[in-house]
Amino acid sequence: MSDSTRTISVEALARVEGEGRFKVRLEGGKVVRSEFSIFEPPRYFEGLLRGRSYQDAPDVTSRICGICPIAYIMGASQAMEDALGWQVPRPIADLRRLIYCGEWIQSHVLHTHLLHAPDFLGLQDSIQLAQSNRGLVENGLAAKKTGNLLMEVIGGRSVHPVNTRVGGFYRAPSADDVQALIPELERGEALSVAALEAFAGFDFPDLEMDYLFVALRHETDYPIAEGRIVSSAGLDIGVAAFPAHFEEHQVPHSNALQGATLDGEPYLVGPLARFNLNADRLPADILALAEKAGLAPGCRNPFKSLLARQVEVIYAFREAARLARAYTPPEPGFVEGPLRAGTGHGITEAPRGICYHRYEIAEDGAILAATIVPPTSQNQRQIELDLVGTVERFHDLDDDVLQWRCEQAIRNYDPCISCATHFLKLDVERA
Amino acid sequence: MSSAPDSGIVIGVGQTERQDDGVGPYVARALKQRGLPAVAYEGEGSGLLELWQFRPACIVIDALSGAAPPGRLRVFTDLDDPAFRRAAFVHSTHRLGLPEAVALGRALGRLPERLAVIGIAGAAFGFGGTLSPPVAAAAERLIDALAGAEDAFDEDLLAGLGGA
Repeated sequence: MSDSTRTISVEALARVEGEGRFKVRLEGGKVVRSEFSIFEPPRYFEGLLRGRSYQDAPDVTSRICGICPIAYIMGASQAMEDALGWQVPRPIADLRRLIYCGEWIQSHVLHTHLLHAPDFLGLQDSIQLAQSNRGLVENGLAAKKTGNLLMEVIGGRSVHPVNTRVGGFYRAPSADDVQALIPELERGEALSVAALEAFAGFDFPDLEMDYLFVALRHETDYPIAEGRIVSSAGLDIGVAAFPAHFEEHQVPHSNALQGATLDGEPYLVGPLARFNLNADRLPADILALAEKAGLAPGCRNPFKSLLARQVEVIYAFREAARLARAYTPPEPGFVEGPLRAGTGHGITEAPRGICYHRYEIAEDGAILAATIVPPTSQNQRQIELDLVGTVERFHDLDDDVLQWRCEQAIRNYDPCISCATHFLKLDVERA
Repeated sequence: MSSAPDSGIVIGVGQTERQDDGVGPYVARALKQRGLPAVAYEGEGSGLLELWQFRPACIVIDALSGAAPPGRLRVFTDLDDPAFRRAAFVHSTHRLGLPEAVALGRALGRLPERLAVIGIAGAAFGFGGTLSPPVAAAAERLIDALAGAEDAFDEDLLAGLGGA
């Protein structure tokens, strides 16, 4: 198709959370201007926290997102515990990892099965998918139900759990309640392996991007709630050093801050980054399943993030079952100590990537300052670059097909726009 | 879940910390206190399929945004009615909202035999857990009407509520 002058416009992107727009101008097959705008209004959570008790941060920040509240609860709790000098014993940390598995499962499965899979089959949405491939949708709903149940048993409810606190849990669930989940977790793993095999048959657009991957890395385990920050460029730093290496900056066309390294380099967080930086932390058989499905370490095809996400679902089921089998209720379910003034940092791997929290608190535990850097903010510039790469790579497609491909490229990120506003209308101008 | 799967269920959908968006959960909790099988739900749309499947009847109560006067009830018993999909239900996370959940449930054969949606037009959707006066008043009228009915899931009763 001719590229003399082209304008493609998407007024509202579907199957993402929140609202935004992408505008691109094409000249001779080259993108000369691209703007990824998030116009969801800012929600001022950081300001809202100032003056409140340190204890409020996990519950208040969990309201940033109904899909990944655990990420906010855990990041805020860790940061407060860091500021206060409280050490969380291993059994409580393991229970946190267990409930976090529930969040990965329900968030990832909602995206892979209901929101992203239709893109690869030329379908408009999960409703059409249910009509053409009912089994895949049923598979996803069953897996998601188990993820929700896991969050409910530990957190008191599956959305915005109420049993979590700085220091751990108000009340640890009984061993019987947790271990009753094991058969469903084992079934969930089998369902998820079947889904990965189905996804492996999708036609993945051929695109390779040059990413700077950033993720947590743990001494022994695939990272979820603990680890150091590492990158594909060799960075290896503690959590507290995040602000010394990464920053957010305002761009005129977006309500959300955009993340970059201090050198101004965009970077990628999320399942593809985690997989590439931690593939050796996966059980060998799960890594073999990934490779068989077409996802090998070193993969830089953003469309294969679907596979990375599904591999993580398999892992989360496996890990949850392991933790459930070993579970003995910690008593008490939390740790606490004296208050003190201080500054603390926390980072966990939210389903969409690392989520950073920093708080300054006064001697009485009142919050003096709060900084939260969600994954979609960090990925925002890289999403723009992926769209540039997608438009240039597939510029010969008709406008409506190219538009579809661009939307698919954005959904590679499972972007949580409300978290980032901090997302989508698409305008492509071909000049 | 407070009720046997062979009974109908009322599901109040919404976010209780966003003013009038919390009217669905508010009504559901009040109905539960008055003995009706009811549940408040804050999650995304696909979770509704789990809540209403195998139920003979279901009423979903949700807040509506848009031009209707605050507190006005809109009752949808014919979910093929294009007006249902056009209605501006606030509850929508990752774009699987109530109309999508209904359509997905239909495609999967996971709809109750009788499903009605009651939308309550809201006035305020900012931060806070308090309903605006017209929405609070409408909620109380709806609670009384459903709790006082011989059969809260009766289609004629529900259709009559739309004029409230």
